[in-house]
Amino acid sequence: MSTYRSKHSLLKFYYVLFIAPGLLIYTAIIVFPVFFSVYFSFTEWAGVEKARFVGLDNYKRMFEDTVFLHSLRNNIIIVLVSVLGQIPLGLILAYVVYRKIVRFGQFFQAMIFFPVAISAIIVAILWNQIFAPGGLYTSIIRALTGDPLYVVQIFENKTFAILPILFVILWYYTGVYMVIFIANMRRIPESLVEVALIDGANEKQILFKVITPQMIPVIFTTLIFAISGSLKSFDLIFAMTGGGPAHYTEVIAIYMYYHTFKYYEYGFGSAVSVVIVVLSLVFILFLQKYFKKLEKKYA
Amino acid sequence: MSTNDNIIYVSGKLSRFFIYAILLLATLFYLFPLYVMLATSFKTLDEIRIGDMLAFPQFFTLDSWVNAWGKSCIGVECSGLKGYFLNSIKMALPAVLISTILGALNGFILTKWRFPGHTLIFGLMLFGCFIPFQSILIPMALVLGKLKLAGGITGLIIVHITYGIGFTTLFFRNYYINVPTEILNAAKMEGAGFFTIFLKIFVPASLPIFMVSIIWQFTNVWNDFLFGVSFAGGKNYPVTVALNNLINSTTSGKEYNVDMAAAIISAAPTLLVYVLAGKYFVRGLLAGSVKK
Repeated sequence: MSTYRSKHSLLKFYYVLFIAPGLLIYTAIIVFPVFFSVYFSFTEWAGVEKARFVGLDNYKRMFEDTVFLHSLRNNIIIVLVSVLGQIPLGLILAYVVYRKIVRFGQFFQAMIFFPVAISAIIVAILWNQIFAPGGLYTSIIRALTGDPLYVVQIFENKTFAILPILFVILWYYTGVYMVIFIANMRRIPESLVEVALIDGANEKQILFKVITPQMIPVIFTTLIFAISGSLKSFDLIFAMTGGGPAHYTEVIAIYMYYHTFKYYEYGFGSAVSVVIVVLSLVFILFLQKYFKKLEKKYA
Repeated sequence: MSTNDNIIYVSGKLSRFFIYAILLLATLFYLFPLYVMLATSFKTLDEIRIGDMLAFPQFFTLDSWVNAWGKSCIGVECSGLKGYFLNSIKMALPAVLISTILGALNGFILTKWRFPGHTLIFGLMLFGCFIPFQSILIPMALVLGKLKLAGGITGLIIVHITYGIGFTTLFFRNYYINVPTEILNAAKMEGAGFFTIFLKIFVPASLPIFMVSIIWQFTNVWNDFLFGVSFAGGKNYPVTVALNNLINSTTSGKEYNVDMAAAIISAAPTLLVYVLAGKYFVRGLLAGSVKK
């Protein structure tokens, strides 16, 4: 009995011993800081002196700043492009590979997926050379418009400066969704597709009537990826344009970075980060509600 | 009837043609920037200035590769990427190994040695996978500052380990949950302890998921930019940050060929991993998204 007991408590000791370090650093560096951020967001603080409580001032200042509002607008456009571009494109491409509609499906898959393995900084460099003044984009527009003097101007337009970035975002991430969808399509019982084929359904009908309803939970997961990913997007745009020119391509994460690490406004930066988290949560909760309904409809 | 069939056949053929055309365009669209990058890195500056971006290099040269690796200027320092490349290795190896081992232990405990509150702990770890980096940036900077680790590689290693634990725990937990508990009980009956069971039974049974975890972590740690630019400084920057600084360096004129060579050098490790072990790479990506 006593040996059993001591052995038992020894085991307990082991798991405390092994889970403790992971958990401790984890709480100290991730969980705890999140709550800290919320507190800082109500203060004015440069990191050295004592934080001064300022109530909602940071938030007020943020929503009165046109740079912030334009960044927010850019973020929302990126969310839309991810949700309405990457995910449907990924779904259709996945279907083409899954149903073996074309040969060399594996090759196409590998091609569209490979950018995922490279850093956003490299992707930015890759595309910047194409959007550079003497770059490929200029040559294409020159050829299309027949204007040999055209030089790239799109970045000088406040409304459209974000367009090239959207294009690159589509290039960079569509493969991720495609691969996720392919893997999940392969889990659908083949008999479902076979029955539909016997009933005379064409590929379009199979995709929309048979496959897509089965994919609803996965689509929900990819939507969460797309939304939270879009709201925190930083690296790619930071390396492509740094948010410029004149903040035209800035997004909230870059806005936060500048205010925090360039102007040392820790309180204000925290408030911006809180907005990023809250926005993600609101989007996700909203989606969850909508998808519960969808799942009921198709279940 | 037969004409009808013919129409369907033809329209099927036509739409297939369209699909091929679109996919080929897509492939070009993907290969193109890569080709330009590679071609530019082998050209001389003169050729780049006067020539066509798409043209094949005429005077094939490796100079820009040599410069990118050991000579070009990043800030005021003119010794190329090599030191920073080494930083990334020094950062990635411990970060990947430690976060994977901790993830394996966590997964093992969370599925087979459960204790009160284990779901809460797992929930907290999942929370860490989805939380935007930005919300922990400032407090993390303060913690690292307090620990006197700000600006150094050790600090970056700790940050990557912590941020990675959520993912590695998820991988191993989802894997170990399918290992039958009977195996564990049988081993316990024979008197095997925690370590023996973990090392002799669970580790050998989970080599594929070790691969997944290592590859996932390596790709993420190597490609990270935000943590590097926020928490490291000067000579301790990882290669991604150094690369960005090299490109934006104003000390010399714009040297596209060096920029491109530097970008390829920085991308080489993860591209190699993708080519050699793409299968595991995809599995890591799926771990969070495949319905269990």
